[in-house]
Amino acid sequence: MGKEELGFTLVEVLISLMLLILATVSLFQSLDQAFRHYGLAEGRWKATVEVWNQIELLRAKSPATGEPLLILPNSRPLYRSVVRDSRLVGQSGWEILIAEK
Amino acid sequence: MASLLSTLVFLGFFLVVEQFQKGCSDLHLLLDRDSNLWLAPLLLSRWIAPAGNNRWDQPWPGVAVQPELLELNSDIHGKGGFPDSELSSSFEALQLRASRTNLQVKSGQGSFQPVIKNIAGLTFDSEQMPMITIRLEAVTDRPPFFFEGNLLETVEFFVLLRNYRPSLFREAR
Repeated sequence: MGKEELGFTLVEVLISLMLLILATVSLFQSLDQAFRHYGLAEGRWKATVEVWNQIELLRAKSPATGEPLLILPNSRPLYRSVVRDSRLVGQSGWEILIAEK
Repeated sequence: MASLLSTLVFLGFFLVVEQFQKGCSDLHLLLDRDSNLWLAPLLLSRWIAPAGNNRWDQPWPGVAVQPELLELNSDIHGKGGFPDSELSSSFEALQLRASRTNLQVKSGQGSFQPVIKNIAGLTFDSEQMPMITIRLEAVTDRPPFFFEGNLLETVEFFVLLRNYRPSLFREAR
């Protein structure tokens, strides 16, 4: 076995270094992407809780507020409100119908 | 030169893998904490809602609020799906509290059992009755690598007991 056949050649090492750099960058990019998505999901969940709280406050309000809707003649009106949050992308809003107590 | 570089490449490989593993571990901790925290409001509102529909002459308080303990009594199971004036079935008499970073539930005469982990604090406020304000605090299982502390996350939400009244009258027959 000749001396020159021992270990890796410089070209092999440089290629593996390149591959390592590529793998590192892609791994950390995917991790960054995962954290971004996690952040988005967390923001949406917080927005959902805030919307939930707004709806509960609306339901608790007396007298009921919102746009009055008369479903049947001589019946008690329902009050319609819509709660929106810009963080809940793709949702037109939460519609709440509240009856008078 | 080549052998020095190859050693560096190996070292670099293990360093990268270690950092990546730490990042994944942190993400897992956060997701674990949040999945528990996100589940709690749904579960609590599911349990509280039937207790908020009290009836005339029921011999128990539907909802009893203490700062760190919530008692819920709802006659939801009986013959034919109707109330049987007893709180003997599962989930009819509940007590909720947070202890040892768990949300614990006691049903009937049983003992407190952990239901959701990562919950460090649970407080109830009934100042605005019939609205109950619930404050939940969640932590991660262990300190993460890239962030400081246990990443305490707090959420406060309201549950309205719309039909709950301190005094009710007998229904007309």
